Amino acid sequence: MIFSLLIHSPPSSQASLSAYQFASALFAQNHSLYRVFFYHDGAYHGSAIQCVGQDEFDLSKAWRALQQEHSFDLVVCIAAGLKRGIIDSTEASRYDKDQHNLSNTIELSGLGQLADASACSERLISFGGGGG
Amino acid sequence: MVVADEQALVADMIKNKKVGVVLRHAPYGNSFAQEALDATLAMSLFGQEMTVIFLGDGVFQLLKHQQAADIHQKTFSKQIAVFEHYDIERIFVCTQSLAQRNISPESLCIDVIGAAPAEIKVILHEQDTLLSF
Repeated sequence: MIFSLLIHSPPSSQASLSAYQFASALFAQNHSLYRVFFYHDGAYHGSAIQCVGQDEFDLSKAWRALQQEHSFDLVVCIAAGLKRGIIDSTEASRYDKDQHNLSNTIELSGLGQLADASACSERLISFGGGGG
Repeated sequence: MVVADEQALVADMIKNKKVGVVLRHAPYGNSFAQEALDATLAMSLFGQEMTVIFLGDGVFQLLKHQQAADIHQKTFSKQIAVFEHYDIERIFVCTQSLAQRNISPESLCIDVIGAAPAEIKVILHEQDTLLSF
């Protein structure tokens, strides 16, 4: 079955770790993952410059490894990302910012990518929708 | 960004999909409900049949006479009023959620269809995709 995930929560949230574990479990059961769409505070997953403690789980690194192994889209909503300071070089020049920090394995794109994920997947699963 | 051709392609693929959006959060205090509303309006541009359901604290989004400029926020009641221009017509509100919060149907800013929990369950089952915010 084809899945996509919608992640609302930041990397510091347990919900985001659950989303990663869910994705890993999908591959373990021979399902496929089409796209992971990061919205709301989930956009913080896009930072390439987050540093975690040596004894802590590195979620960004784990997503990158999973993506390299299985090849699926990691997309940060552009509107949610820009509001939170998650920005690539193109947008940085557009908004006249002298820094950029988007991870090079993650794409910054519009909500159309969420509509497309809902269209092309048999299941769309949300994580971290509790607000807070 | 999605270019126009891709947009048309996506719209073509999903025009037969029923998408239900469940709005469960109070309008202010954090940007969760605001971004849910942004996503709802954006999704509606891709041509699918949209159903919006206000549930739980989400019913507070529908209240008339909100003055959010005083707290440097955008007013929900004004934004929700544009639903009709986005062809979002199937809008439901949970009558139990309203009653629990002592909100009368007359206090709401737009015309919505009241639905009891059992009816909402049926509506949710009718959708191909659910987005829960």
